[in-house]
Amino acid sequence: MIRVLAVAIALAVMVEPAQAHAPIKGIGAFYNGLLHPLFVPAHLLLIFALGLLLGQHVPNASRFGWLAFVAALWTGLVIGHLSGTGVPVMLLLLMALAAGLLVAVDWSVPAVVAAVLGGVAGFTIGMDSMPEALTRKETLLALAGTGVGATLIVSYIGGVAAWLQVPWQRIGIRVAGSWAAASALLDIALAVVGPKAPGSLP
Amino acid sequence: MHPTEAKRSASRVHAAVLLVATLALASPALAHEGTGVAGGFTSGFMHPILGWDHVAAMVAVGLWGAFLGAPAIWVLPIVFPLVMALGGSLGIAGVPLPGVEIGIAASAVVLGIMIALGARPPLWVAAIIVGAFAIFHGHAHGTELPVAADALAYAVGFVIGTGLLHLIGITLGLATRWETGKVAVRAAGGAIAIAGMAFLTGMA
Repeated sequence: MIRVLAVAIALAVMVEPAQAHAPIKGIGAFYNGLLHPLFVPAHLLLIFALGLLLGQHVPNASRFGWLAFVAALWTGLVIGHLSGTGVPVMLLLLMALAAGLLVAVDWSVPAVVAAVLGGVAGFTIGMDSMPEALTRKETLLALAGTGVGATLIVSYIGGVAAWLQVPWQRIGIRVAGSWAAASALLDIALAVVGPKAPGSLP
Repeated sequence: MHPTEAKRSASRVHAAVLLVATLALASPALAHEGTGVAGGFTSGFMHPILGWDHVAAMVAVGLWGAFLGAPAIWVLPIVFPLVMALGGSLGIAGVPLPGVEIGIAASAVVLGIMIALGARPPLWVAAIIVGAFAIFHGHAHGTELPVAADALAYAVGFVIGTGLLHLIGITLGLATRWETGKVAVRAAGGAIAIAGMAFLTGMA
């Protein structure tokens, strides 16, 4: 277990942070922040997988996971703003992989696991959402927008997943979880080794 | 559940599945090769769809899952992307896998034959067969990853593209509820096997 953790941490620190995206002109700092989780694929993938997990296990595990996510998200936004440091994208991908696999196997997640996963996910997304080249007021507005946006997105996805209770719909949630895990696994491979195979497109 | 309610629920299931399958068949607005998130997603999404060998095998997985019934109908579409991602990781890492193209073509032949014969092996056998072929398909996707594209968006695109092809197969496979439908699905399996032979021999 310690070895696995050591490898995970080593992988997490050896890769670059998630890249920022260009802001949309004309909609203001708050709405750019609101949309930020949708435009950063690693954030969206993690929020999607976590939302499915929380919705899959309503109400017991999910309430702790959701509260931990929201509290840690806003904490991460503040600390990220103060420290000015990002988060290695590998951390986000590893958590998306874990959450996606948990959804795919439909394991009855204990409340503490949901809370830890939600907390770490929220904190890292918050830390990694620092806007660039904005005035102080715009930065605060953008961070507030990101907090609201990420909270809304995880709530919507979790709510839809919780609402889908018919057996085939529950299977659909597991399939979506396996898609999220597969996507995260592929990107982890890319982040670690990069496309080296002969025949790779230019 | 009341019979009327059950019938209504089944109709909703069919409508939802047909809607998703129709959306999957529609041409995306961004069909060009590009960079960034949109370009990466489009490249990844189109990759399994534009390769007929991939299409035949993916649809066959869905068809066979539907033919096998529960729990295979949902186990196979969950297992496939996860194992395919492992194969994709091998391809990305440059780990050589002999006979990838042969494996992909053989997947259409074997899965097509399974459907044509109406084979119903134990679930673990079906999962191993499908999983083994998923390695080849994933390796091909990973090897051909365009480096200009957004990597995660590409991965998400090709996982979703693959999954929707499974869904098309499952949708068509729902016809096995009727005797005539069973014949049609087995005939489709035969056609997939023949197409696989054409890929294998280089005729297509």
